[in-house]
Amino acid sequence: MKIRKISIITAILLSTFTLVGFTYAHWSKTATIEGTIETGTYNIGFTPTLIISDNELEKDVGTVTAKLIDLDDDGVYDKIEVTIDNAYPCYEAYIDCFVHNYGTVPAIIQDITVDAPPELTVEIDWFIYPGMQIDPGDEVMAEICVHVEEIANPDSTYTFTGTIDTIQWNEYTP
Amino acid sequence: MRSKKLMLIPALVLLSLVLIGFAYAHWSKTILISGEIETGKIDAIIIKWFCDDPPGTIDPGYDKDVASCECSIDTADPQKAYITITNAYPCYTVHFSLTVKNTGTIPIALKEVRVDGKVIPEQEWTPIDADNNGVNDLEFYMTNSLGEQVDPGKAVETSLDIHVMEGADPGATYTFTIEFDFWNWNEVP
Repeated sequence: MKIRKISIITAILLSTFTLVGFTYAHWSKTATIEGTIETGTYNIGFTPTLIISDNELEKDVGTVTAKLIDLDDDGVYDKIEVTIDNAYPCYEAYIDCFVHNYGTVPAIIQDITVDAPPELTVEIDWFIYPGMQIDPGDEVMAEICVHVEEIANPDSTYTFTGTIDTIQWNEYTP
Repeated sequence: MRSKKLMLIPALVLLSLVLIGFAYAHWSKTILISGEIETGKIDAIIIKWFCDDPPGTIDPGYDKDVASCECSIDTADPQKAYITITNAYPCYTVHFSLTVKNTGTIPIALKEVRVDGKVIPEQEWTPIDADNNGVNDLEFYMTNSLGEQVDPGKAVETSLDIHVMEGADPGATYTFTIEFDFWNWNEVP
């Protein structure tokens, strides 16, 4: 009974190894093929250029600033921090940024999400959208638009977050 | 016994795959945007008043000192002012103004003036029934003030005329509330 178990285990191991290309034999001759596979790199980030503006024409009341951050110290900016001061209902700020493919593998925008309170309307578009492909070395412009709604209270602080999810182009699922 | 064997099979398969370093994953990266928005302050206080018939002066348009008008700013809440007209009579008219300073951080503009909740249009006499007896007692006239922009730290003068109407009773006291409604400047046409 014990021998039978051992036989089954050995058979399973052998068949698994066979499935994945492992070869076992008593008499054998091995032809060797040496292979080197260098995988590509995948890195998407923001370029150092930001174009910042707002909807004020006649007065300078609200201010908007934006800062680029390299979260993992790889030389590519992964985050934009937007700060708006002295805002008021109908104030609108625009941060134009550029999403660049710093890797060697094409990427696709999988998803764009925004989490903002009802006092703000935040949009990330122009000209970025889910399904857009960015080839290595290419970049696309994206505009972050922040609009302060009528229900916003004076002397208050509101925060929002947004994400741009990217994936290697051949794994994209619409 | 048979089930134990069956459980052994997937475990061995997995072990084999681990041994040969099989792996599966996709490449992805999420880039982030975060924002903090601080809204400004809307605030205004009354800093000065003017009246063209203070006590001891000839009534406007007449040759006698009969009635008088006084104004005071609430020291505890300078967003409030009190107007007191004494010994008034039908056809008595007084002009007064309040200077309002923008103490906030957002430009403001006068959107609306209301007396006891009734909107007073610009350059138009608007009668008010102050004692709710069905007869108008007072009327108000606002000079050009609506829409004037006041930047932070600056002030604007808003003025009203009050006219005692024929329907006013002798020996009566009329009270009313005037509200100057300032909005953020970009919402005022």
